[in-house]
Amino acid sequence: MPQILIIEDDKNMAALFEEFLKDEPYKITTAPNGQRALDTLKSTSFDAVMLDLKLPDMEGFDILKYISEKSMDCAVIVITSQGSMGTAIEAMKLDARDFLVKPISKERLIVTLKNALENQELQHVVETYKNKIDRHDYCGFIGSSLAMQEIYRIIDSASSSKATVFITGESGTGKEVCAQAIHKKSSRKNKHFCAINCAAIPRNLMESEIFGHVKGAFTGANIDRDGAAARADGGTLFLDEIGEMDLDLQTKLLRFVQTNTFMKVGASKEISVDVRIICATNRDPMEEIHAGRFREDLYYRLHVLPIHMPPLRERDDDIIQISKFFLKTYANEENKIFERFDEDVQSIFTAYNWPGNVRQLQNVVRNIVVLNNEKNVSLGLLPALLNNIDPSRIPTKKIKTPPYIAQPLTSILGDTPETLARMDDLEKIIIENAIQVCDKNIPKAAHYLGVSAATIYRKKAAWKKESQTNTT
Amino acid sequence: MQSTNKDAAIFDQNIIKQLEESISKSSVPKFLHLFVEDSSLKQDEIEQALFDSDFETLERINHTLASSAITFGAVRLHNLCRAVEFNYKEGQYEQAAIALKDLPSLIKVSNEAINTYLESNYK
Repeated sequence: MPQILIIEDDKNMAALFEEFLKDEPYKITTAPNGQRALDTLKSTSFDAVMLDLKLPDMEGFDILKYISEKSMDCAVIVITSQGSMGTAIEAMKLDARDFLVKPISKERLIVTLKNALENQELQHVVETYKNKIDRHDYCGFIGSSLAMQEIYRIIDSASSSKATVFITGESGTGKEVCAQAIHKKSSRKNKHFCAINCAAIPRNLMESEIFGHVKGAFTGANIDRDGAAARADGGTLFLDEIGEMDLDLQTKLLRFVQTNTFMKVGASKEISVDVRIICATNRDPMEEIHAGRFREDLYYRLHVLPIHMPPLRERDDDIIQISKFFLKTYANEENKIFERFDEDVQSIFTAYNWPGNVRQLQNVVRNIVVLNNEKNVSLGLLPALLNNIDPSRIPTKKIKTPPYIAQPLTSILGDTPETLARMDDLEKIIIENAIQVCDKNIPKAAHYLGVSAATIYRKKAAWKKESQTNTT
Repeated sequence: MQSTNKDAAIFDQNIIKQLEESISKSSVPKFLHLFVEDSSLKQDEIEQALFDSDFETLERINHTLASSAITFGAVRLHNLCRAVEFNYKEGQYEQAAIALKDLPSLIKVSNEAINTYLESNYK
């Protein structure tokens, strides 16, 4: 049940407000002065506060400031009198949600409180949604593109499971970062994350790397040694470039995936472990199966939760976001004065197709920082590869005719001073059109409009409130 | 400066009728009695604050009394208190003191009107 605090020094008025709200589903507390209100706010959390700005021991503004400074999660409704509208507006600037002018009717009080609480709830939903959808960085990733939001969402879901994850994607797209993110987000995070690059280890040593060996198993095996599977017990085993794994070893891996048991090289005793397997490849696994280089049964064992990492060229503004991060990091590391990229450099970065993905971008930025020392990264500092791009060939964003707007543009914008469209009307048209174009997906619409989803939700709520006021 | 509006009703029954529609009718006398009691107390507080030349308190009490007066139908009292509050806010202390001379009699007639209403409607 929502908790409401009424801060009102006139006990008769406070009692009247309580009477107005007695049939509403709220728990009401009253405070007759500022000090009592502060004490109550310190000990109890409220969903809404009705605040009389004239109190005997302090200004109501002091309480409003306290609530704001402490970032208290409550909607403040200021109670004011006619002729004190300026004060009410000042209060709204200090984050008061609404104001009521005395004399206050029962209906007005109930509607205002209901709206404030609904707005509060909506803000919680938006915050939660924003935390889940509108993320700019996540477990080692940088980027807020839609493609990456989807990756973050899958990682969130996949992390709680033990199911095997199969990550595909071009080199440098962050497959290992993704595997680490799944591990960090999972309940296995306090155990080992063991990564093996199947392409970097000689084939004859790979089995020992994964499963370990006993003393004397092969020449040079002077002592017993645990492999990655044993070290990852309770944690995660990441097998990168799995497409490079020898077919014989794939058979052993299949058995390991099926039974969670393995034998060290040269041993006769089986070892049982609790390991979550994540594997990755930059190759097309189906092509590898068709070419006979990858076991189909192993593929279907591993391909339980597939994740495809998007190439950098498909990550929109992430390119600039990541470049800025690298610029700041390397400028600090190298003690250089770099601060920003010139606009035309940003255009080139956005237009380039980055075949080496984030790793290539990282190298380019590091190269610029190491070899130069200026405040701005200008075109002249770009490595030759990027300097060869003709800026005139950089595609500009095509403006599509919005399907939502059927009328010619002049009929909307107006062609005489009297018919000129109002800014707020145009804003509404633009937002509604974007929502329509994006199949009613507000976060997506917000993304393409370059605003936060919270802004759209807030504006929609305001329009709804406005239309309700107009119809009553 | 606002006027005290001598033409305004001392007691507007319509405001109480609206209140009776909002809350249970049986609760209304309780609030009216409380207002009558409280306005007399506030009059004492105003006199004390006048004696102390405590203008801040005078502004605040007139603000509070103005708000409760309009809620319980004492329209002329509301107008007077609101005007006095304004005077204090603007530093017009002399005008406020002159206006306050009418306060005791206005509280008295307002309370009498409320009591009459209570007697004729809540016997």
